[in-house]
Amino acid sequence: MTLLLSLLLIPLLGTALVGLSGWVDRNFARVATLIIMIVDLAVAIILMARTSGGPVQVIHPWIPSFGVSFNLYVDGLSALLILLTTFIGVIAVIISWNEIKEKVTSFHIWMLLLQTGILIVFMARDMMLFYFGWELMLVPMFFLIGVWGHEEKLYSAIKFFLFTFTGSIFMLLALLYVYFQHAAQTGVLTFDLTQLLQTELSATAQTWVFLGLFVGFAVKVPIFPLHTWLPDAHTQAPTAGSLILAGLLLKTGVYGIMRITIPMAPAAAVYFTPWIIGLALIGIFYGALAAYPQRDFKRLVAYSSIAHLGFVILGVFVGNAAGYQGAVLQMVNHGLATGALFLIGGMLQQRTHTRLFEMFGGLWRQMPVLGGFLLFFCFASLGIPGTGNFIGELYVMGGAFTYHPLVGALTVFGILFAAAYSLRIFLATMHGPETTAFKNLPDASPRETLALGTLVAALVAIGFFPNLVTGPLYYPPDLSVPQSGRATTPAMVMPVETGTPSPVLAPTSPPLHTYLLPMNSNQLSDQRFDIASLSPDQQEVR
Amino acid sequence: MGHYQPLLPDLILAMGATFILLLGPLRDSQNLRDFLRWISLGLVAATAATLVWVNHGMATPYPLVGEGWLTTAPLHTAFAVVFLATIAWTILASTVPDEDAGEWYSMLLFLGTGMIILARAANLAAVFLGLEVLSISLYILIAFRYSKRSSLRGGIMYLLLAGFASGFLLFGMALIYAVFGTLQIAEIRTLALATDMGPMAKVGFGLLLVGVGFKLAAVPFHMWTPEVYESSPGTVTGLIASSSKGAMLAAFIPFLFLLETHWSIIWLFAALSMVGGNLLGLREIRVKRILAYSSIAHIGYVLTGYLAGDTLSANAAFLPSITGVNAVFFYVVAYAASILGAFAALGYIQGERDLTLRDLRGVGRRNPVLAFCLLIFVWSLAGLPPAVGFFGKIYLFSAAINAGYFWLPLIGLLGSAIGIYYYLRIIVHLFMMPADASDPKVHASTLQEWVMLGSAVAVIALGLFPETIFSFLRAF
Repeated sequence: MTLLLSLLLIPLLGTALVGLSGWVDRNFARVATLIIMIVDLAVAIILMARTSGGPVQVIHPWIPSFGVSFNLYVDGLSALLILLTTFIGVIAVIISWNEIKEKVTSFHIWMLLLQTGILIVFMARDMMLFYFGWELMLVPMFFLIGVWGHEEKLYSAIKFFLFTFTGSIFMLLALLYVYFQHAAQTGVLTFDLTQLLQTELSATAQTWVFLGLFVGFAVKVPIFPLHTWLPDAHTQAPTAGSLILAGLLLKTGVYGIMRITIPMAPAAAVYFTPWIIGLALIGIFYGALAAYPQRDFKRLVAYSSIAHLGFVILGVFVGNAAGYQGAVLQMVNHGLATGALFLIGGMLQQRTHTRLFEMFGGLWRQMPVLGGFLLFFCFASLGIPGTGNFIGELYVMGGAFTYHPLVGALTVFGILFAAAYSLRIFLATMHGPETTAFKNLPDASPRETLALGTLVAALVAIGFFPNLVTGPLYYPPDLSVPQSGRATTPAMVMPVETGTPSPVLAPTSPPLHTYLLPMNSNQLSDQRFDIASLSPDQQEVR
Repeated sequence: MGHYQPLLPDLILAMGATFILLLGPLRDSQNLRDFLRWISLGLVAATAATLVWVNHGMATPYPLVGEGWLTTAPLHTAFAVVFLATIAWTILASTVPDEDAGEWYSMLLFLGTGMIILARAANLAAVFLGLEVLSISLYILIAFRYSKRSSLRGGIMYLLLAGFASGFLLFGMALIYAVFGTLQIAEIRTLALATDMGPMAKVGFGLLLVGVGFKLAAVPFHMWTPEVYESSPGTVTGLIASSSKGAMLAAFIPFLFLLETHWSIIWLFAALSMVGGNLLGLREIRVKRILAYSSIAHIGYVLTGYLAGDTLSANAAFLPSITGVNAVFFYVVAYAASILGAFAALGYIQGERDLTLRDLRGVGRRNPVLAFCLLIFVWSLAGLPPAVGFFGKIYLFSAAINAGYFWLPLIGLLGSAIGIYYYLRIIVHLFMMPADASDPKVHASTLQEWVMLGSAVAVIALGLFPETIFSFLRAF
């Protein structure tokens, strides 16, 4: 119980500490934030370890008359994303060390608030709490872009805000509709997702609920026609902001689709699957085609995010275990690799005050270490074996082939496109005739090397041991509980260790939404126990 | 006293106001001003205490007292206490020249008297009395900076238009009386529901709605808002937007039966206000006018909750706190907490001319405390967590959905997505724009800064623990 709460309270209460220390000296604010982020990361690692046996849940009453509770629920998927969040949080502080020179204290306070919002989204089992966190993410990000961003910062910040906020309205309406339907059917007032999922919705209702939720999350992902805020926001945000946007905020959208949208309206999800897969494919190609000719380093990477997220959405909706695992893998990998590309873009901009490719060229001679890192991350972005991206894309492709050979084939071409723009990043900056504009650019500092090196290590580790990511999605079979019909086969649990992506060839696919729940007989501990009947200190379910 | 006991709070406040008005001209000194301020605060506190005490003394739940003038129903008492709190807040937060202190505090107390009469009116005559006491105090308060032309213009404008509106209201009441033969709202309700309303009654209620619509500044009766809001002192603008409208809403709650007959008019009020208020503010650059348009939109949200009523909801049995009326109460509190602070803050920044977005630049640097408070208030007005406006909006729209409305919440939510743009503009100018050469002039005393900070914290605290407001309501 304390674990989950402290994960949230550390950054939240940390804002006060940072405010105080920043009042004394601005460098103290940096140090304080770094310490807070590292502590939060440590808590997240402990949490990861504790969720290996089963989900952890905490329920406190919050607004009983409205059926809202402070209901935190962390299973493998949540824990993974929480770990990613806290990890990227640390990197973001490290990377802003020299970049942010103005209003240092408030920058770090917004970072901590943003982290709190993201963590609430990944932990909330109560849908009102989820929405609370969802909206809470907006203002800090708005400030990060609007105050510390680049040339077009105000336009981008407002665009980001308006897009996400408008999307979230449809989400709210859908959630309220389900809430009232559930109340009318059972007489129980609750925003608890586990209970809301039991609501019986007619086909029409499911369609509307699905569309409402989907639009809300699709804006954040972003899925093709709703993506236009992304290039602006990513390009104009300060480095830490781009990192968090790409690494975390986009993932909240995917998480919402996996956790809420599809389970809430499974029939509608199946109905819409071909359309969404179409949109995902458009996203993959559109993102790649739009990325390639960009003149702006960060803008190119931003468009590549649309393509990468297309893979993720594809993986989610192909409706088999391989696709699901691939989607989760790609979520993590994209956060690390694309985040790293944004970091390098930010470092180049800090040194040269430009992000335009035509100003760069032949920089490898001046900055061999940074160039090496850039090479690695470009390769990671195009999915070279040995990096996590390879495994992730392989899984998604496998899932896509199982769904339909044509979709699988198109996905393969998508990877070809990814190679084109990824290589262009490297060639245009590090290769070619050496630019005369910049002399004696400093190479990566130890601090930057540390940040990038950690990301390299993480990507390689996932590349060789993808089970690090896919493992937590499944719990070991609990032998004390009789196996239910939905129990997974061992091949799905540990596909990687056998060395072949065999689950791809699983002959029959269960319904789409079953893949989006933890696949084990002891998957839903909160259903085995009636949480409400437990005393508060028992409510932590292990 | 006996039967007239419930009139005690109104008497205390009105007599205290008169007393202060007489004390005022004694001396032009700061000491006297401070003395009057604390006396006024004491009077407001005493009134609130008496109100609560009188209410607890009543044995029957919904009696009509003083020949059926006022009701002591819990909801209305709670409303009255909230309005007294806004008056107390204004007494603390407002700046006034020494020589005018007596008039200022006395008018604020009279305004409070009008509000608590209006909020608890059980009788058409009491509605009119409360409304007039309230309006006349407002005329003076709006034009209080009488050396400035714009201020006088605002006062006269409000005087003329409110006079018209009172005329409509009064004529409507006369028609209603002619039809039903009583001024008691409860009796009118019974009679109106029992029989088919004739055309005369319908017209009467229609005229009544015009008066109410004007007072609430619902579209299409909103035209006076930007001008009057602009020219009033900041704290008074806050009161016009929050508790003066709130008192009218509270007085309007006994008329919920009108939903049976005049449903579509109120629906239109709500929808038009939500659309109009949010659209009109988009191109405005004068900050107080932006918030004036936003207040029109907010009235639209509140009317959405009002339409949900208290008995209509299908799920009322197990959703006791999400009746429309409770949501309206919550929202009035939430909105008052946010808008009072916002207008007061703008009042401190304002110089000699109209305050534009440009003038906000650099305030974040120059006076971080004030800018931070303004940020929280605007955050709340925009309906974003963790500020209290978030749950305010959620409750209103939940109540509406619960009562079977679909389009109205959708319009409201889309409208709020449009409106968020002008809130963002305020934030952008406060924090993200380089300051002009001339530094903005901010006049705020230490006391005022603490008051602002206190209400900013309250806005967040109420947003984190929204149940508090319902507990407060249940305590009556």
